[in-house]
Amino acid sequence: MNEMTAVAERRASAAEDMALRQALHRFVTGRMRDGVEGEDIVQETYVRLYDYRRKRHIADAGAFCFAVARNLVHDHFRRLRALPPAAELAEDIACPQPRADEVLDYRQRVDILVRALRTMPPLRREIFLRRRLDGVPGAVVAADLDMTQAAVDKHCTRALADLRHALERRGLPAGGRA
Amino acid sequence: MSRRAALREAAHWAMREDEAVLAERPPLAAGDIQAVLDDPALGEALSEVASIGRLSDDDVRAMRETRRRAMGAGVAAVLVGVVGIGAWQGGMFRGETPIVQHIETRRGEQRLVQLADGSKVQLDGATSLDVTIDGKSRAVELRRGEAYFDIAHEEQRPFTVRAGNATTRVLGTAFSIDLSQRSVKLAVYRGKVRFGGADGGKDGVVVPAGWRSSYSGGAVVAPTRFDTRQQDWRQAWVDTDDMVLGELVEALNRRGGRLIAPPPPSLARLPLSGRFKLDDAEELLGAMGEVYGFRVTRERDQLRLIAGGEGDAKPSSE
Repeated sequence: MNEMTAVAERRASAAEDMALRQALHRFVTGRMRDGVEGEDIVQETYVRLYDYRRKRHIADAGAFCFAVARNLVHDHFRRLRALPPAAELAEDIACPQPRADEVLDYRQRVDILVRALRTMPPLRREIFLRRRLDGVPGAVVAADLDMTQAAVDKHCTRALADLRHALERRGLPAGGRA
Repeated sequence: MSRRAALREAAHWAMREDEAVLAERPPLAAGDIQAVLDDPALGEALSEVASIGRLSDDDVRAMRETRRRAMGAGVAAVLVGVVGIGAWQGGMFRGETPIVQHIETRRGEQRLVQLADGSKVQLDGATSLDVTIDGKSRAVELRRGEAYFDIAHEEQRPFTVRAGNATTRVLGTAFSIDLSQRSVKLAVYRGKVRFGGADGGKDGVVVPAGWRSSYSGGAVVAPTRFDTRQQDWRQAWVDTDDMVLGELVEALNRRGGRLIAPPPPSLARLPLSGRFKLDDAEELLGAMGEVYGFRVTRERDQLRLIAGGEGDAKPSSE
């Protein structure tokens, strides 16, 4: 291979990267109303792509990025729906439930969560780490481990519910109101 | 719906990756689950746990393969029976690779766990231990607290319990080990065990059923007899012969209720005798105080032992 082809290939891949970034950006901003938040999601997607690439080969970076970005967009909207604006609540709840940091301090929460994670079945812990710490989409985790996506989802669901349960067992009250 | 079921429903909602989820009404506990996901404490806990060890794709595949085989062989009940209590951790058990299991209890909690070899361990409260089982040996490291072991007999695979600097080595037997600040106490209920220092074998003493011993200051104390039929900590009784007050306080603190502050050194070394019910620490200590010359006071949510029987020796009144 001579130098010319190497340069040409680099250029081609740079152009592909650029095209992917623009497509991602359109994808995200098309779903988000807030442009700043959208840019954050694109950034975060790339961070996760690079992290994942350090450990494993990715055949289709585009598909990976879109899966990650879509999850991040979903997370954003889900958070808005799960946690109604504080102002709305302040009026009609006479006795608001204490917040997490009023019952258990930060260090206590970390300790409880670490213990709960350590006593979790190792496979469940690993799957949850991949989804939450590495930010890898469930479908990718499932493919890497030769499992069905349903099995991966189930592990994550159980892991997350158990973590919350561990905190509640140690005194954190259920904050959600019917 | 139970709280656990509600949490699972919300966790499922929070972890789903399909578009349709956004159109569905959030489950009741969605806010609680979201609070965990948003809590920076979760990020730190995940990083901390990740630094202890991760599983590679191959590890996971091998683990699942082994489990599939184990299911076929009918040992699945033993392996999955420990979910929620602890779980085999880190290494897999491909062939000679050991099964490692971490089990712990909170104060006031007691648990019976069946190990992968069929042995049973009953943990007192505030107890923590690690189990490692491979093709050649079975080993438990008691890190804190007290446990009763009923060991499945296996000539080829000795079972070893290490607690502090003491080692107990057995083939098949039932015994209890109590790790306290000062010593490691052993009581044998069935069969016999070899009890000694870190290398276990050479300097050890053979302790048969109906005898108990302890290890302190780097040596095994000559065994004494006890009645194996009498109730012990598993039924909330304690036999304080060979015990000092500091050790009784440790045993009481494994149970729930008010925490007892470590007694001052002069009291901690006080030798005790007699059998007592452990279910009401405050009442027990109050009664003992009258005999042994100390009193019990409440400070916030702690009990404190103070030398000298004078003053208001009425621990139960507010």
